[in-house]
Order: sequence, then C-alpha cells, then structure tokens
Amino acid sequence: MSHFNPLLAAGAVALTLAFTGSASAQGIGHIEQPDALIKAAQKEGKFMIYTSADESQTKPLFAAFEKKFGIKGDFVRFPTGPLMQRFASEADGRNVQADLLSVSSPIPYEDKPEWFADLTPQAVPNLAKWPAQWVAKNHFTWTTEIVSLAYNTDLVPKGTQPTKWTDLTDPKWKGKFLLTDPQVADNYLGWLDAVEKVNGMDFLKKISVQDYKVTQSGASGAQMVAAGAHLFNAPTFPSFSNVLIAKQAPIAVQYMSGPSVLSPRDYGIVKAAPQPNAARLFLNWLMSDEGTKATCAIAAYSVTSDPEGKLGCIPVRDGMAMDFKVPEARKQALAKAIGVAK
Amino acid sequence: MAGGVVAATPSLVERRPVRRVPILIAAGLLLLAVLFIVFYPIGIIVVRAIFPFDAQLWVTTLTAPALGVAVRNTMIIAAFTTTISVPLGVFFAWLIERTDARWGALSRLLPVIPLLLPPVAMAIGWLFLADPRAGFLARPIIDGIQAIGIDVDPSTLAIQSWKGLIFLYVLWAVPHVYVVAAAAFSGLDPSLEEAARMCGKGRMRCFWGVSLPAIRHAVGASVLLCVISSIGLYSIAALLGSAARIDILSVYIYRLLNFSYPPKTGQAVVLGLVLMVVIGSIWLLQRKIASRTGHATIGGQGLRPNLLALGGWKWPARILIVLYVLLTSVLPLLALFIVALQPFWRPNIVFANLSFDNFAEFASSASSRAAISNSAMLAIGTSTVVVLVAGLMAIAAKQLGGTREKFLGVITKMPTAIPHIVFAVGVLVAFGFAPFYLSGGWFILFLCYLAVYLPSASIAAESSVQQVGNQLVEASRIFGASPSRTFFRVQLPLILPGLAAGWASIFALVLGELNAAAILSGPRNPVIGYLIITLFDNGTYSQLAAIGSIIGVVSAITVSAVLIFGRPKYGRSVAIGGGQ
Repeated sequence: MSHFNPLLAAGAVALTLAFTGSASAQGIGHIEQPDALIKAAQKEGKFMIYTSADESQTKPLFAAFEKKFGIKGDFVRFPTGPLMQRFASEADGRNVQADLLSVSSPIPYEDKPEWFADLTPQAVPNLAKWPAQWVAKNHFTWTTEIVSLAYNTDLVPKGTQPTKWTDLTDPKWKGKFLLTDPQVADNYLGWLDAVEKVNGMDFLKKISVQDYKVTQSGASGAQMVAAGAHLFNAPTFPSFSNVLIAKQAPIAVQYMSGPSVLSPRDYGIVKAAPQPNAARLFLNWLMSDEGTKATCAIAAYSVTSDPEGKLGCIPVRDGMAMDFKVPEARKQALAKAIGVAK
Repeated sequence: MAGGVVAATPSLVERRPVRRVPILIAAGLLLLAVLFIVFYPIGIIVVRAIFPFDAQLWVTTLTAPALGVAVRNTMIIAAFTTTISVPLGVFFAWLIERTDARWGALSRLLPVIPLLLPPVAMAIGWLFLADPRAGFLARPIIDGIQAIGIDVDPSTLAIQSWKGLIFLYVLWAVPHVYVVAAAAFSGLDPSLEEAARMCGKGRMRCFWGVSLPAIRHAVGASVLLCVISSIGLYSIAALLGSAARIDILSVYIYRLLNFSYPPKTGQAVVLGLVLMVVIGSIWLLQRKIASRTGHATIGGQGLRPNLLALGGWKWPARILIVLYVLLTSVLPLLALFIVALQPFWRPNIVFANLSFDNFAEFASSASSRAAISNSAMLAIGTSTVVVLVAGLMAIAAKQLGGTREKFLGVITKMPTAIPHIVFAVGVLVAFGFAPFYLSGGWFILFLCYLAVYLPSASIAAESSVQQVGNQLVEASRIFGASPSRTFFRVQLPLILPGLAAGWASIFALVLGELNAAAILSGPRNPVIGYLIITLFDNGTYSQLAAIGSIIGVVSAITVSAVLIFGRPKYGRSVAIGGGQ
C-alpha cells in the first residue's frame, strides 16, 4: 500500500505489540468488547455511517449489530464524490452528522486529517490485532476486492471468458463489451493506472479501437451483461454481480490477472462524531471474529484480518496495490489513451 | 367594445397610479425573499469556489480540450432537440386545443404522459425497449430482419448513439413544449382563426398564418425552455450519451463534481457563471424578438373556441397522436412495468418468474414510504409556491416594463445556470447550519427546489402573462375594482391555464429530482431522488423500474387533476367579457 507512511505503520505495530503482548498470534475475537464502551455506546443508542458501500452489505451488518447490542445503525449511501461533498459541507459548517466514514479510497482521510480521529487500540481495542500493514493513522483497510470482469454465462461459455487484461484487445470481442468509465471513481482510475504500468500505453490504445460501449456505474454494467446487452463488463467489482447471481441471473465474475489489482475499502472515525462511543463499538465489533464472519457471510469479501480465509472470507489475494495519487495530467492521458476522453 | 376600452385606459390608469402599489409592494417583498433564497446560496458558492480570484482557475477551466467537445455536442443536441420538439409540441397542442381532432378531456392529457416519468426512468425504459441485443422491441425486430436473410449488425442500431440520444431528448422535450403551447392555445381568442376560415384560408394556412403567430410568446418560451433544459438535462446524457462516448456539458460538469476527490467545485462554478451569462443573453434575445413581432392576446370577448374541423384529416391526426403516445409513453411504461415484475432485466419474458416482489419490497420499507410521501408533499408545495411567485413577479414585471422588467426576467433565470448539486451545496451551507439549522429536514429541500425551479415557473408564467391583454384588467380598474380584486378575479383566472401547465411540469420535475437530493436528503428526510440514486448505483433495474412505475402513477393522478382543473372556465370568461 504505497499510501501508507512506514513510520506510522511501525508505530501501529509497536502499539499492537504493547497492547496485546503474546496474544498477537491469536484470533481477533479474543479481545472482548469492553464493558465501559458498551455502556457508553448503549447510552447513545444509535450511530450514523456515511458510506459508498452498497446497502446489501451495510444492512445485514447493522441488523446483526443491533441484535447483539440494541444499538441502531443508520447510513447515508452515495458514490464517493457526492458523499464527500455532503460530508465536507457539514464538517465545514460544524454540524457533523456522520460518526464513521467508509470509502474505497484513502485520499479523504489523508487530505483532511483534521476531520478524523486517530485510530488507537485505546479507542478501538480490536485494532491491536489488525494486520499492521492495513492500518494508518486515522483509517484502516477493512476489505479488499480484486478488480474483476463480469460476463454473461449464456453468451460466453465458462472457460472462454477473458482472464487477463490483455485479452480485452482480442478482435473477437470488438463491439461486444462494456467498459466502466475509469473516470467515475478513484479506484477505477487506480485500475487504469495499474494496467498501464504493466502493459503500457499501446495496450490502452488497442482497447480504444475495440468499439466498446461505456457505463458510468458498475451496477448498471452488471445488469446489462445479465440481460445479454453486452458479453461482459470490465473493470468491475464482484459486489455488483452478487445480487444478480443470488437471483440466478446468467452472470459470473472473473478475477483478472496481468495485473491483479487490489481495491481497498477503508474506515475512519469522524473526529466530531455525535455518537463517538457507538461508532467505536461498531468498529470494534466489525473487527472482531464475529464481525468478520458476519461480513463474509453476506458475500465473497476478502477481509484483511483473515488473509487465509479461515473465518469464511475469500483469501486476500496477492495483487498490485492501487496508487491513489495519480497526477492530473496522467489521469487525462490515460483516459484519452483508452478512449473515454477526447 | 374592446377597442374603446383599450383606447380609454391609459389616461385613467395614469390618473390613479396608487392602485398599482399593493401588488408592487407584494412583488417587492417577494422579490426580496426570492433574492435571498436564490442569491445567498449562489453568493456563498461563488465566494468559496472562486475567491480569492485565481486567473489560472479560469484558464484551466475554459481551455480544457474536453470542454470544447462537450460544448459542441451540447449545442448540437440542443439545436436538434429544439428544432424537432418545438414544432412537434406546438403542432400537437394545436391539434388538441384548436381542432376537432381532440376527443374528450383525456386527449389533452395524452401528450404529457412522458412528462410524468423522471428522465432517468424514461431513459432506462427506452434502454429496455431499444437495446439492439436485449431490447424488448429492438431484438425481435433485428432477429426478424436477420431471419429473412438480411445481414444487419445490431451495433449499428444501438440506441446508445447520436440518433438514440436525439430521439430521447425529443421525447422528453415535446411534452414540456406541449403544456406551454396548449395553455396559450386554450386561452387564445378564436375570432382571428374564425375570420381566417371565413376568408377561405385552408386548415394548414390557418395554422401557419394565424394560430401560430398568435401564440408567438409561447413558442418563444418553448424555444427558451428547450434550449435551457437541453443544456441542463443529465440523466439521458449520462446513460446513453456516455455509453456512446458522446460527451455532453451536463455530464462534464457532473463529472467535475462527482467523479474525483476533492471535487472540482471551482471549475464547476466558473462554468456555471459563464452559463448564467449565456442563458441570460438567450432570454433577452428571445424577449427582443418576441416584442418586435407582436402577438395576439386574450381580449374582452368570450373565449369559447369553435374547433377547427379537420374533415378527412381528423382521423389521421388522431392516429398520429395515438401513435406518438404509444411510441413515447405506453411502450416505455410497459417495459418499465415488465422489468419491475422480473427479478432482473432479461429480454425473454418468463411468466412463471413474474411477481410483485419489487413492489412489495418497496412498500415494506418505511424509508421508501416516507420518501414517496415527502416527495409528493414537496412537489405539491414547491410547484404551488413557485408558480404563484413567478406569476406575481411576471405580472409586476409587465406593469413595471423597461429595464426593471428585464432585470426581473434575468434574475429569475439565473438559477438555471448553476448545476443543482452545486446549488444544493450552497443551500446546505447557507441554511443548513447556524443560525438556521435546517439540515436534515424537509424545509431545506423546499428552499432549494424553490430556487432551482424558479426559471421553469418563470418561463411558463411570463408566457401566460404576455398572452393576457390589458383590456380586461383596465376595464376592471375603470369599474372600481381594487388591484387585489383585479388580480384574483381577472388576471389569475386568465393566466391559470398557463400556471397550471407550469405547475404540472414542476411537480413532475421535483418528484424525480436527483442531484439536490444527493446533498440535502438523507435517512431523516428521504425523498424519491435519494432512493433512485442509491438504486441506480447499487440496486437492480427491476427495483428502479418499480419506483419508476410508482412515480408514473402518482404523477399521472396529480398532473391529470391539475390540468383538467386548470382548463379555462369559459362560462366565467364570458361573464367577465360581457360578450357571447
């Protein structure tokens, strides 16, 4: 994760060791939810998350948490852009509504550190057990997803689908696939940056002449593929196809290689959170074995604390970490090369 | 009779100027309130985004190569949309309001059916129909063509293309033109048309030579509405234009705000300010052209029109209207409804898999129910208040005349130039926190909608007010009626059809508004737009289609009632005019 400060990571490791001692090799769930935190959180009775994650992920976790602690979670769910517009306006107006922020990019936490509380094991005890490479000063990486390709299984028999990014340049796919506009979010642009670094600008230019159509939303892309309007959609994330797969739509997900690109989802506690204790308790629960199992029971996620998938998660795959600080000029050059910008 | 009244009034009015005062005071107070609601948020946004002045920001924004492409494409779309939609909308309005092609009150509602769906639902409905590989309509047609041995590449018939984009923009724009033109036709004195017919003019010459010039203001307003709305429309451009790699200005601005972090709000505001100047200039130009050419007005005579007999053309005209409604409304609504019954969009309809699950899921959610009721109340409240405000301001502007009229006209159009999402940020900062603390409630959405839909209401109101002549107003004054009595008993009933048309448009627009909802709505004050954005990014098309169908039903009931209620009351007009 190139965006992490090594000194901070070392500090987090030191804190972890100091706090957990020899128990560090054990499962995360061995750290109890502190009684004092539970009481303080229950007194607040509710909390609010601002998130870009889909609600099919958020709602079941809230239900499980409410069942255990009697604390109700609410959420505002938008793509990162409008979500941060809203969050920033409220923060600037000193009328913060959110207790937690969860987005697929570390940039908001790093650009405005004054908006977020420092994450310490004193505040969130289970943080002490979280792998240090996924923890930063004021946010941590909760899950990772491999940037994928969703394909229609009726139109593209299994085994014939593209498996590596360079397969997209095959003339047999010309005019038949849907590209998610990489300009719509930082993590799609991170994918574009990564595949160019491995395959070069010529690879992007070969894609640009493939006469593809463009979608601005991964959710729309998956549905058009399921309907048969396009043979496949890429880049995308498995979470967009999960709902359709559950409804037995003819769609499947291919984790792509060459390179495998990792997209993180991060969490941070808002410094001026109206319900800070409920926020801390929810995060602590989310980082416990119970929370991890609940997360991976919803869909196929890779939780960074369960790298080998012992708690039912998809093993965290080796992959290329995204660079979220792509210079503006490079962003434009990449978008132009792949053909989504003039 | 009427001529005598007109000749006598100017001097009488000059002798009693005090009678204008209450309306002008009311308009003045309203103006102050409007100025505050509109310009306080805009001022905040401008100050935050572009001060201290940074020349580099303007240079970077205005020299971006992609901006040039987006502006060119937007001009092409706006030109095609206006060129096709205005004649079509006006022609349908003429057929239904002035000829015997109409049949009953129902026919007056048919052309506005596409208005009842939010553009995002309409665009998706058309995607279900016209996608060349998965569309309910396009796929069987292409399969049929291929079955008879003609080799056709489905990609060449994609709706995600220039042709598809213009087609949908036109479908979306025609009802907006229709409601303005129909209101003007319905209030038009029929004597000119009847005189033309008696002089032996043919039906089409009567349309071109008499009816059309008589509603010049409404046509001008429709052109203005089409151009401005085409520039601002996002959903269709985002869904189909972007798919075909056709960049449109609204998507370009949206992308500046939404597709990167931190958002490029400064660039979006710079473009908004430039757009303000452009739209203001277009409005002034339209006013200048309209004032030079003159137009017919509602006079002191009764207004019960004798419908023009189309003879043998009556049924072809009716078939044309029905065909239009079928192609533009019935089929996409049907497609939406079918997909709403499916677990997910699929071109083959499997009857065993159809269910009301998506509707049940929607109905079982307290948040969804709250969103429907909040949106309905906000739509009713916003459209009523904004239309009354715009009507009063249009009357006051007409009385003031000259530069002050132009000033009022320009400021009521200015919110159009600011993207809704930017405006909503301004409203949140202006009214959300100290000292107002409106964040998270419905009133902040109401304030935002008032400002962003003022231009649409203003265009409809100005068109209606310009259409009303001075004869009845002056006659009312001469007979001693107070200005408020004149307003409520004479002017308001006469401009009511135009205001009702504006009301209907704004009701439907508020109901499906997305961008302001993204900033101002939340779990505590959910609206339909909030649900749609959430589903558009993470739900299924079937869930979205269910919401689209529900919105269609809610809009259809409300808008139908208003358009029928807002019809001219001919009996009352006769009584006022004292004729016929």
